[in-house]
Amino acid sequence: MALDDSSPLERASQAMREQPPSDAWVDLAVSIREAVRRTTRRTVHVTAEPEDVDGNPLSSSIVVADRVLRLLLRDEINTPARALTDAAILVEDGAVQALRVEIACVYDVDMVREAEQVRGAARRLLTRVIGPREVPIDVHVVDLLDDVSQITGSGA
Amino acid sequence: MNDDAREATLLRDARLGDRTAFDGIVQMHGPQMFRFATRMLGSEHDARDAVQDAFVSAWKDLDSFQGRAKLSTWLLRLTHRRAVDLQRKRKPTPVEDEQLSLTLPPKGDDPLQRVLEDELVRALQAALLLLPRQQRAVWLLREIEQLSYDDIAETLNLTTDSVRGLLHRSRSTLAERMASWR
Repeated sequence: MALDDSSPLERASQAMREQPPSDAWVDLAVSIREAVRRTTRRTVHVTAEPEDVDGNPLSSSIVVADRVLRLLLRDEINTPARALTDAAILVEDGAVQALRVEIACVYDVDMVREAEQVRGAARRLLTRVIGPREVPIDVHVVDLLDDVSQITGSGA
Repeated sequence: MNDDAREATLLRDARLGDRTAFDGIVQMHGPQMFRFATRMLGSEHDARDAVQDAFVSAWKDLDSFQGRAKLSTWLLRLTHRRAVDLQRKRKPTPVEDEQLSLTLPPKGDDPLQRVLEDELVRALQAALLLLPRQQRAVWLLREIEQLSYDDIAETLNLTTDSVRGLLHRSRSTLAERMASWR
């Protein structure tokens, strides 16, 4: 900032804007990450009764948080042409009763085919994680995007 | 991928429960929130608490973010709320003579540019802390963070006309307090 005829307030404002970021941010970012790791969101638990590779029920059940199911669904559903934007899991007495999946697609895809693929992927995932169960799965295409990177999160 | 697309992707994944994606949001918006909180509170120590609380709250309530406002505006609003809470909890402290003296130019200082800039910023910070809280927030969001009037109104839950009025008053007061540096 050069000394000039501008008002002291203008000079001070500019100097304040141009100040480098505080070194304290680096430590604070670590603290925030740790605090977020310690913080749990409101969670619904799903009782899973998966089968072994031969289709026999495993001897013990496990409990899975709905957040975990959502992340597994994302990994199962996302492709370069579509992405999971939300998944509403209806749970009663620990059992999944219904699933509503929301996805965003790129403009030029066949939405009906995408929706069927998503339904199939979600059903396979549910079967693998919580066991065989007839669960209605609704698929909603909530957004169409022309930028592939918005779908995949990559620079493609 | 541009910043908007990256933010949309991080937000989508964070809402699904992906903590790593939320870390990306922290890295993207945290420095601005920390700078704003530090200037609002006049203390990095207090600003740390405000920003950390804001992010924990954001993580818990991410589902409530509907996307009507910008993500940055929503996060600044959470930061502002935490900063105000912290200030309310603090005991009111009288303005120290030393703090007031920062609004006066240093006498007999070597007029090196860098020294002058540092002193100017210190004087401005001291003058800011003497402003009423809303005027200070509006001035910082406009002049330092360079938000639009609409975004400031959204952040502070004010009307755009109120933002204009508060900005006008804060500019006048600060200009008066800084006039001795001319």
